[in-house]
Amino acid sequence: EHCQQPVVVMLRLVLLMVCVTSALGAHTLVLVDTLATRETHSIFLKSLQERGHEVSVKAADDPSLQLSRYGEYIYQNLVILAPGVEEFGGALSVETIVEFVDGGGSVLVAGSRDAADLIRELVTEVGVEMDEEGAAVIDHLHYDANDDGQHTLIASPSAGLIESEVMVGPRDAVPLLYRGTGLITDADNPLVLPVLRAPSTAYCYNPTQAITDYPHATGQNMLLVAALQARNNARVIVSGSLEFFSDAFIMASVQTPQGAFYERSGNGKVVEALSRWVFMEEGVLRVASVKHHLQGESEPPSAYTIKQDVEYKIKIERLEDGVWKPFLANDLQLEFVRIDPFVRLTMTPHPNGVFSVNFKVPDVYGVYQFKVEYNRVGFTRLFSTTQVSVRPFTHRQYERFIECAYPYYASAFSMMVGVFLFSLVFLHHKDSPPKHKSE
Amino acid sequence: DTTTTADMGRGALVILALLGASSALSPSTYLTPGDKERLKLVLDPAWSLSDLAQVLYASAGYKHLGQEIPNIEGVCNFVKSSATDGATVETLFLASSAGKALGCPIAASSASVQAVSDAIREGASSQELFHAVTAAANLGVDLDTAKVLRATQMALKKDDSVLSLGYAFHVGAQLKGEVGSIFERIEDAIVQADEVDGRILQFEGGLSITALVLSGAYKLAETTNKVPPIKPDQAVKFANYLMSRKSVQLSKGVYYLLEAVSMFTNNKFHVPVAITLASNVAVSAEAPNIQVRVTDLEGYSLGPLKVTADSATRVSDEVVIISKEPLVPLSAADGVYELDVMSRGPHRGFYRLVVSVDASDSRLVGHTDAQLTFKVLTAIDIQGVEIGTADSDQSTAPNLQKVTYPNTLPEVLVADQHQRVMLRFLVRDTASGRPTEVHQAFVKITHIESKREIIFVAETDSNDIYKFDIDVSSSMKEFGGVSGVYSIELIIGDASISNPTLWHIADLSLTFPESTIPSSPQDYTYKVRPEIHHVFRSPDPRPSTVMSTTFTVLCILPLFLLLLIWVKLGVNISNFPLTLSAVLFHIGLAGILALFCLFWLQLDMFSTLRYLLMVGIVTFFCGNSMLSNIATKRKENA
Repeated sequence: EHCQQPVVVMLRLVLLMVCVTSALGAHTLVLVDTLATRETHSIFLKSLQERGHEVSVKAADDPSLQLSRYGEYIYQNLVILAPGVEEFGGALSVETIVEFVDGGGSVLVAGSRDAADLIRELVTEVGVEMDEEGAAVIDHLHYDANDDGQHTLIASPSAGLIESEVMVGPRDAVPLLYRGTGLITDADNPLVLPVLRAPSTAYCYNPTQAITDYPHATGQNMLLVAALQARNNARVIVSGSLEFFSDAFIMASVQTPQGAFYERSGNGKVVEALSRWVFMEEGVLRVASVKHHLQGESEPPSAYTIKQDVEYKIKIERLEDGVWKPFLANDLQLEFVRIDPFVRLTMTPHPNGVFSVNFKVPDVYGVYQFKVEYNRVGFTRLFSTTQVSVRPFTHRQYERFIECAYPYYASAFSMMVGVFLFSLVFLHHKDSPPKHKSE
Repeated sequence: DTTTTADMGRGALVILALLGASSALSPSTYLTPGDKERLKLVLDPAWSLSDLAQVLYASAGYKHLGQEIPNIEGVCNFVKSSATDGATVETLFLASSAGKALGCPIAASSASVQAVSDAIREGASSQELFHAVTAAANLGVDLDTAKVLRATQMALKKDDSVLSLGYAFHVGAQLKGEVGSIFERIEDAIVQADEVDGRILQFEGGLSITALVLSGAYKLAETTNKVPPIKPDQAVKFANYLMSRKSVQLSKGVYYLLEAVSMFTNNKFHVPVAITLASNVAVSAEAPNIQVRVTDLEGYSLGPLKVTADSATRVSDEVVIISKEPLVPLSAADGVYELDVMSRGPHRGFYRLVVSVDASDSRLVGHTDAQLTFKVLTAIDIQGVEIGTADSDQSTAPNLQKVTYPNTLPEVLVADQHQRVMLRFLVRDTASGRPTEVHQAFVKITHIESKREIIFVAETDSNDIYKFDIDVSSSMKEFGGVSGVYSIELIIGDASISNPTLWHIADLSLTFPESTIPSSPQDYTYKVRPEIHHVFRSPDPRPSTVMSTTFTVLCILPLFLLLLIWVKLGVNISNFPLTLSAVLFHIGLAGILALFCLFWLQLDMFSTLRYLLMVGIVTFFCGNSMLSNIATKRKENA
């Protein structure tokens, strides 16, 4: 039996590892126009596989396509590298993809100058509009030397990237290659994030036609890559360029008209970072535990009383390389809310991922919530509420022996003493003999 | 339905237009050094020597790429050790082919010769026959042509797919003697190729099948010394397909691609010619020559050729600037020919160059009507720049100031909602000296503080003068009603100008009426919200201690006064009856009062009432009894 035990332990370990890897092994469906895309985008697809994705590459009009079976999604991630698809095959449609996003699925869509209406319709559903057919992003000041002449191969400065290391990785100065259409988003839509803005001098128009109408997208208002993080934390990336993700662009060198030369474009790092983000490998937070109690105690009371000192602790974890690790930030805030927030304080982080704060319960009783809402660019929306009731003082908890009330105390006691003495005297007084009076 | 057909029609038109624009039937690319480097990278993992097939693909691929194989001895030993006695025919095929490619042919043992001979039997598939025949040829085993042919015919009867035919061609190519029966089947295979976009021919099944059939067909044709039934334009379309698959990422695909490409560069019948631009797509006064590279698919020169530019046509207006001009061979680079374009005084723009090669070598295909695109760049300058403001109601003449590139107006322009901001300029082509229109003539106005930018398009009038004119009050929406200093920058860009320009012309201070600024609530999405600290209600103000002490004393004073007066009056309690009831009554009364004190200090209402009941009852009866005693006594005394 002793000999068998290590075997059992080993088996358990193996099982555990299988569980861990299968948790990582998200099923990813990649839709392509032609299977040659598998070769032109091999670096991107290979990086997905290396990160544990179960990648299935299928033609976008494959009649056997389906995202869900028996009401459950068979894929967690969908990559659409098929700008030319006129109609999806099988059970796939714009509606099912939108449902997929509603169900929490991640989607990456790449378009092109000649993207089909289907792709345009799909990206409109996530708040992004592709410029009209034939229009290409043009920049006469930021193009790459390998451009075919129309200045549509943009060497977009990395300054246009969103300021979020979680989404696009550490910042460097290498430009990104881009050839495709421009994206237009509503600046008032907070859920759509500008991942890569076009340079100020760029515009989107048909390069072979003179500009007669105002271009739909110009300058920094035009996006090259946009991201959506929906309210259910589902993530979508939309790019107007299929080639942005291609091996050719990832491996290419960049030479700008200003003479700067870069051995490799910045596409590789950004594509890697973006795909990690969109497929929920980066920027994912969760609440591990919430504790609240009076200061100096460890268990929460049934109700707090106004003006009590309370301590709130929340443990937050962040997914890093498939493992939940403590999260650190110095801008996490706790709100103590009764319809409106009465208290909002920044919490102190600790290395073990616990954030704590001490505060005094407001002097207004009612039903309150401890509310932590952390919504930052690149991270999943963190939301935690815990309801507690706050009651007023009981009659014994008020202040006693108030100094300025001493006259009242004194008069009451003097009255009581007076009553006692007076009753004694009144009942038992013996008049002196009247003879004294007659004298 | 009518709309969909119309859409489809439009789609077809677009595709046709694109095709027209891209190129005519001639390979527009070849295996560049970059491509070769990438293909080599795909093959490299084979040198870990774990898979014999990979080693074959890599060895043969390296040979085609002209690369030196690293650790060739180790690779040879690995290949030799794979071909042991008892190895399958397929292994023998792989090992012997790899050995051949590596230049270390493996020796044939009697067992392997026997295995190979046995594999050539009726009933074997054409792939098995291909393996056996190739292994036999590599090992130097003599074959009975008639027997192989019989077996091949049997195999083709069983399976006449393109793949099977492809293997059969390779079998036939390695046989000695009459193989016409297989050669006749080439046509059967070629007709099955699918045409894509009118410029690509491929077999269903992709790169490996297409490459296998092609190399097999040409090798077989060379063996039989007959022209294969493949038309020159078909050869070009096949070549186009192979070039479209340069990006292949599987070592097997690389192997087949390189086999087919090298076959296309070196056979007796068809050698597709790749005509590509060697120079930059842009031609300008500094670089007046357009250079054309004429190579085979592997990028090697085809020797001295007569290269002619049939025509060079401006895309925008079909003006022909060159027709039937010979290109001059460049001495510095083999296979590169050049032509001075700028000496023709072309206008700037995109040109379509049609190039043909006079082929003394009849094998060359796809060498005529190759379309290339180049563009002529000229420099522009911006002249007559005037910027200023004017009143909206045009009551006064506009106040315009001249600025010259690249200076910035020294003073800040000032405008409010009653004024217009105006900018006029002329873009002049320095080559022709005439005004010209450019694709991009934008005015970018940036709020310096918030970096928010608004872009306007400048439009030309009939005199080709660019004008930009905004009414401050009507463009309030674009500016968001935000007052402040804005920078005005002019962007002039075009694909065919050599000096696209971003010029900071002036700064502009805009003032919008205060009330129009929409007060939107601060947006805290993704941001840290301001902290809120609850303000506790402050306690009511209380009188000072002196005051309360004074009044406390004043409240107690009457009691002392009473006692004092009583003492003076000689108050006594001599009538106190020494009865139990009297004593108990007074103790009870004191108890009740004490109970009230306790109630104040610590007891709650209910316990107080309980105690009060107990003490109260006793006190009541005692009091009753005492009072009646006193009353009786008083009556007696009276």
